[in-house]
This record gives sequence, C-alpha cells and structure tokens, in this order.
Amino acid sequence: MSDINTDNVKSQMRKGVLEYCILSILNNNDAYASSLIEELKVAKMIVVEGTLYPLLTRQKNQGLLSYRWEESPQGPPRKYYSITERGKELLSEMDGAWRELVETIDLIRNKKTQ
Amino acid sequence: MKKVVKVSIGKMAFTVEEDGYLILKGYLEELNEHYRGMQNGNEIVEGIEERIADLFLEKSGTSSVISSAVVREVITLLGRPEVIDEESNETNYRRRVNSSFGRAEKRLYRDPDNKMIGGVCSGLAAYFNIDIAIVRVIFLVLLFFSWIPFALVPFAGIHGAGGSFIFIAYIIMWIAIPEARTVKQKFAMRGEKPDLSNIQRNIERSAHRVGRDLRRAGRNSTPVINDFFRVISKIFAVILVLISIGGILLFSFLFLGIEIFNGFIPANMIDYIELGLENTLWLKISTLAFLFLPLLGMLYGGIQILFEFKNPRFRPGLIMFILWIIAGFTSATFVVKASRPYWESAREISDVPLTTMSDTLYLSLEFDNPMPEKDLIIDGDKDELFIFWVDDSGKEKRFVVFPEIKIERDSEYDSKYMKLRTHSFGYTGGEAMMKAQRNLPSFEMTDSLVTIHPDIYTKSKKWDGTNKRITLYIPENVKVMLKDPIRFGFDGEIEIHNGFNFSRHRAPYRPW
Repeated sequence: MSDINTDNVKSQMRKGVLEYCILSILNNNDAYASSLIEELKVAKMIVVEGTLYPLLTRQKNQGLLSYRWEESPQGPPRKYYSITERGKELLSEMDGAWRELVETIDLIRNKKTQ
Repeated sequence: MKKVVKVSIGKMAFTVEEDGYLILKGYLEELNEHYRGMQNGNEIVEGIEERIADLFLEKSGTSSVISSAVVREVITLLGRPEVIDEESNETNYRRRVNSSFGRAEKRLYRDPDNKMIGGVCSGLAAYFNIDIAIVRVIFLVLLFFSWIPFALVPFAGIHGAGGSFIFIAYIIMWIAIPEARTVKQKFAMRGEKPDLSNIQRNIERSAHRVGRDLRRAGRNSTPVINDFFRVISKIFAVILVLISIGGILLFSFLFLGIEIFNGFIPANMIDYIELGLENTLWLKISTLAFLFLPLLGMLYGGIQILFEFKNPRFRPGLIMFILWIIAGFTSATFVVKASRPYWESAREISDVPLTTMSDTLYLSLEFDNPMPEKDLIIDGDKDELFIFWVDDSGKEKRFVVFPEIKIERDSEYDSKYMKLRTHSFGYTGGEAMMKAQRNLPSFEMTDSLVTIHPDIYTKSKKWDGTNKRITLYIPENVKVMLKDPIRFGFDGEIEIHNGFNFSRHRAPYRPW
C-alpha cells in the first residue's frame, strides 16, 4: 500500500511541475521535441514519452511556445520549439511561485524538526 | 517467412512486419480517436508519429525491417492515450468531446475481410456472432427460392420479383451498412474493445486461422468450400447482369417504342389518355427512372462482382438508391395528380329491343379502314368479345376501340333486347354522369344486322376512361354471327380474315 501511495504522491508532484520544466528547458535553448524528451527522461520527469506532445500543443495554443520547421539531424524537418515572450512572463511567475513553495516547505520542515 | 508492409510514418518510409503494422495502425487510430475533439489534436498525433519514426530509426535504421517487437517497445515507450492523459494532467484541461471511447460498442458493419459480394453476410455473422457459412446458406436458400420464377421466365416473371425481397434487402444493406475499414470499426463489429491486447489476440487468431487453413489445404478440403462460394457468387453476378439487361431491354421496348414480338406496343400510349396533367414529361421521366434505376443498380452490382472492382469514392450505388427514392416519390405524386379525373365514376344504362324475327343475329364491327391483320388486341371467349387496334393509315395514330360485346342467354327470355352500358369517370360525380349519358355505345340496327361503331381516340381526343359494353339478352336458340372480317365462335375459334388463329381463346363446347 505504502509503495502505491508514495508513487502516487511522486507522480502528482511531477505532473505539477512538468510544464514548468518544459518552459525552463526551452528558456535555456530552443529544442526539438525529441531532445526535450531526452532531457526530461534523464531528469526522470516523464514516464511515457507521449506525455510531452499534448503538453507542447497546449502550451503552443496558449501562446507560451512557438515552433519553426528545421532540418533535423536525421530524416525530414522537425518542429523546433522556442519560448515566447508570454512564456517567459509565465516562467518568471512560476519561478517566483516555485521559490515560494520551496521556502514554505523548508519552513514547515524546519519547524517540524525543531 | 513473414509478410511485411511498407508504410510512411512521420514523413519517412519504413518496412514493418505485418503484425507490427496492425498493432501500430491500431495505436495511431486510438490516438486519433482520443485527440480528435481537442484543439490542434492532430498536431499531438503528428508529433507522436514523428517520434515513432525517430525511435524506429534509432532502433532499426531505415534499411532493415521493423519487427513487431520493436513496434511494441516503441508503443510502450510512448504510452497509450490513457496513460499519457494521466501523466500530463490533460484531463484537467480538456473538455472531452467524445466520451464514448473505451466502451465496447457493438455496431453493424460490413466485413471487407471475409466478404464474398459486399460483406453483408460476414458483417451480420460477426454482429450476431454466428458462423458466416450459416448466414450465407440462409441468404442463398431464401434467394434461390424467391428467384426461381424470375430466373426461369425473365420476361414474363415480373410478378415473381415480389418474392425477391431478400435480394433487395441485400442491396439495401450493402448500401446502408458502412464497411468496417479501421481497426476500431473492425473491433466494434464484433463488439470488442480495440485495445492493444485485443489487437494482438486478433492477430494471433488470424495466425491460427491461416495455419488451420494451410493444414486443411494439405488435406484438400477447404478450397472446395471457398471455390464453391466464389462460383456461386459469380453465378449470382451473371444472373444479376442477365436479369438487368433483360429488364432494361424489356422496358426499353415497352416504353421507348420499339416494336417486338410482331405485336404493337405503343410508344407513348399515355398521350392518348386523358390525364389531370398538362405535361406528362415529368411523369414519364420519373416513372421510367423508378423502373430503370434498380435495373441499372443490378447491372452495376453484377459487373462489380464479376470483375471484382472496388466501389469508387462517389458511391454510385448510394446515388442510384437516392435517385430511385426521389423518382418513386415524384412518380407517385404525378400519378396521383394525373389520376384526378378518374376519382368519381358513373354508369348509364339503356335498353333497346331487338326487332329481328329470324333466329340468327348478325353483328358487324364497322370502321372506315379495314381491320388490320396484326397489331390487334382481341380478347374473347364463348360469350364475350373485345377488340381494339391502332390505325396507322392516317397522318396521326388512331386508337380504334369497339364496345365490349357480351351475350346472355336464357330460354326464358321471350323478347330479345340489347342493353347498352357506359361507365365514365370525372372530377365530380355530376361530370361523370353527364359523360356517361352522352357516350352510350353507338350502333345501327336493320332487321337482323346490328352494326356497331367504334370510338376513335387520338392525341387531341383522348380516352378518358369511358368503357362501353353492349349486352345481348337472347334466347338459347338464337344464333349470333359476326360478320367479316372476323369469324368468331362458330367453330369455337376466333379467326381473323387472314386466317390467324387465336387458339388461346378457344371456346370449344358452346358456339354462339
């Protein structure tokens, strides 16, 4: 039971910050969907690769991302994603929220241990 | 040895094992179905497809064949739609347009994989979960029983077509029931849920079947059954083509005015009949379409089965069916309108005493042109005679119609007399009554000779439904003789002056 619970909690947390992660990665460099996947997988942020695509599409619909077609290292042109100004604004808001969240949790934890 | 399929995934060409191809196809259909209702849902599927291509490339390269194992691996890596949604929190954002997905809905489809003709029987078998052979046998039995009269007498047997409902039902089902094209539809046809495990099971099932068929082929039994059905369907197709061509020819001869069988079949008889329509063009067109379209459909269907070509995209069968329905309604509407002058009827009767003292009564049917040797419609027996023909001698065709002559004999009649009757139609009862009164059969009587005059109908003086009859009430001992040009009844046969015998109308035992 406990295993399932921890897994569930972990996945809930992961899901909460997944979009934040995507924006963060793209804030550093523009990227292909496949390189985004590689990065997120290394970070153990996604379980199944398909997850990325609905998120990218939604963020694009919300105007947070844009893409252009670029020759990919192998095969036909692929979408090359980059963050928009709006995405950057949201990202900075998220950064703030994240810092707050970490601080709050630290605070709670420190209180608890005292 | 394995069958492979060439596919384009994410704008790249791959060669995939057939089993793997089916799994992949099912997966992509599932994705499409899942994201269809979403804004830019196609982009999601495109993205995943491109990723599949990249992964294939990574795992197998372009030159080698993608094995089913690789396909499964890649799908596991990308995740099924439900898992993707679960992971990406999509369900919080999207309004699910199509919530029916995932439920195993059973739907009636035509089964293109097991079809003989249109896949109707195989589809029904899948739907009701019974053996295809049973459904086919039921169809064939019903079909052959109901078609026998038609097949034997294609021309005379139009009435036999009433029993061919199963054939029409098949055609309608063929048109109306959609074909199961996608993997999902093929599962819905059996009422199974099209998830990957089912697809795999299905593939295994077909693999078993192939194996079984191969084993059977080794014992030389299965192909016989397959060939049997193939031969039956080809025979069926030939019958379809023959019947439709026969019907088309028959109707063409009947209505488009080509004379056959040495008989007369008027091209435009309807123009000689009083109708509630000014212009009969649309009545003719719609009625002809209503009669011809099913025949064209049969011809098309038959040719299609014979040469096994696929239905073009514009669905000619469906178009013909819709046109047929429209033609039927149009024709019915015009028929109702055209028949309006016949909704009321009236009769008029008048008695005329026969003054002859002799015991022979002569009848003469008189017209200014001689009675033709052929192209004559004559119907008579021992106490009835009806004659009409088309007179072609003038500029315009004329229908020459004599009143029906009837004989009533009774030894108790002490006086001989003639009863003249007219039955007329009209918009109103009054109009019909007036017509009947003015239109009693015309005749002349001199001693023992009764001369009867015909009614002449032309395009300007049309037949308006008026039927005339002269009934002779005479004692048994009075002989009735018809003057030239017809000999009628003395020896029990009708004989026209050129000697043509109408033996079907023999009345051998009692002469007039």
